[in-house]
Amino acid sequence: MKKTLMKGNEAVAEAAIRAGCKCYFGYPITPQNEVGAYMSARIHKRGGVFLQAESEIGAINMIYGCAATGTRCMTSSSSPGISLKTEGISYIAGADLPAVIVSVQRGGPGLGTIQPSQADYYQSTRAMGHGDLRLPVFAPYSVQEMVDMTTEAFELAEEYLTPVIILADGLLGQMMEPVSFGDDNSEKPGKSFSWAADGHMGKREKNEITSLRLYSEELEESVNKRFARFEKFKENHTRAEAVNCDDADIVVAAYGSASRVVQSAMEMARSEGIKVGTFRPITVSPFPEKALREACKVAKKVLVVEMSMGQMIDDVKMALEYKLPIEFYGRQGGFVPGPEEILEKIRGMKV
Amino acid sequence: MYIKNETVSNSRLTIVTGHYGAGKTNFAVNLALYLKENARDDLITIADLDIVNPYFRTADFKKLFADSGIRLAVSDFANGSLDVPALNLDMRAALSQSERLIIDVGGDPEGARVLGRFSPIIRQFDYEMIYVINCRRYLTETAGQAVALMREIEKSSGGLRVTKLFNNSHLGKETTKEVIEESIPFAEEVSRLTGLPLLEFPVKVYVKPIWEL
Repeated sequence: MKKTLMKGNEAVAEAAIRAGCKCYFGYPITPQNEVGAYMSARIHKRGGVFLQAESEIGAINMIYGCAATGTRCMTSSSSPGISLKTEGISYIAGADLPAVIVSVQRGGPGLGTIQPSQADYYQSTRAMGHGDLRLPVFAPYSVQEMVDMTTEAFELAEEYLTPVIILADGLLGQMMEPVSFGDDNSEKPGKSFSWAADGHMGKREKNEITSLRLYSEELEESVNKRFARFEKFKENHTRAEAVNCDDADIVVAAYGSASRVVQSAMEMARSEGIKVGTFRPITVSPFPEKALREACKVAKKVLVVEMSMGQMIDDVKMALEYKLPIEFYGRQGGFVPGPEEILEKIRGMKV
Repeated sequence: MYIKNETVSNSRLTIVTGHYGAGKTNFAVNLALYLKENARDDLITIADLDIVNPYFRTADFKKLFADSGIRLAVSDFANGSLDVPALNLDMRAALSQSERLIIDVGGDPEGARVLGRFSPIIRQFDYEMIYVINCRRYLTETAGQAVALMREIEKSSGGLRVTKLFNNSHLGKETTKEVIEESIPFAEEVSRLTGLPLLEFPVKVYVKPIWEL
């Protein structure tokens, strides 16, 4: 297929429609408004529904209801909006329902800034709502990956009966890159599910969708089952990319937009003779621990770069069991670090 | 027959418009730098009238303009944290303080709407309105689509009319000679359908992510 130039936000919406997403519910917030704008202009022409809810809380609960019927659905938001959605996400996870949630991070806390950030790593990987909860989180680093991961997220959400998070940031949402799309499945009928509350006409037992489990035995069993599924997801879908790590004295770990900058910094460092490799988690939950240990086999030091005060660095420390010196470089407030800044940090690491 | 190979005119006022993401800002930055270097006018102002796009906008090039001696006129809210579509630019002042004014407008009819407010002033001038087209952007992949969008933009801009076309078809970092060559029939068709000339103007890439060296 001929490549077109699209913003990350537009591309996510197109990918979702092609994946057979039938309902998009959302509420506007910069820097992800192009997702809703694209959906509102197009999804109804391709067999779907766009609805701007009265709030993020309204939107996520519409997703809850829609997912309960076994219909593919998606919502998207940015930091403060995702905070509002987390209660609903917890309910959806507790009811073992599939859904795709796109988080386009902006600077925080509070209203913060509309500029890009990676300060919601903890939120996505640890706290997408209350309760014993682990959700799969994909971290794209290009517009093409936003497309590919959105497509995959719908499949995996249904296979593992869980909300799947796409953790992007404002820069990925707003920047344009050439993309190509896979098949257009917007006209195909969705799968049918034995668990769906989609009307039984008295022909089968009723399906009950709930996250309320008042008996401890029942709740414990449901949590265990959910974690077993997450373990299986971990085995089959944990993903990472290591570049030039075989001889690297310094491994620089970063995800999303920051990893693009890190790649440029690595090229600059290599041309100066500093042996640098890069490690990029593609799933940030589950975190690719084994792959990181493998990538750091010969490394003397590790550098973590994030557009935050340092959140993923905790996962890096745990994965490496504090066996290597781990340094940090971060920018906040909506700043994206430049390759020169990171190179300067690498030069100062002295290995 | 289409008309081609027109160069930048001597109009005091150039408005840059087009589809969201067609490359308006990159064109506007190039034009400002070109005029500074090649025209005899000393006082060049570039105005960022984008109220729809939060990132990748003219106001990002503050330093480049300052170093080049180009005045940048922006709304107080540009590039801040406030995503309000507010515009407090004094167009009369911008025009009286410069010999050449380039206005970079937000994309689509929504972005062009701000022109409506200024159109009574703009129409007093022999303005140039350049419509930037990119056939690798969705929604303007065919000449018919590009023309339809252009008409919408004209409508929402308070009756201003496009005077020239600029074919900016590209695929970002993946732009090849073929990508550009393939776009020529598209641009000629837009020119034929509208009767507007195509502008011949080489551009460098200024608008790009921070990691592209």
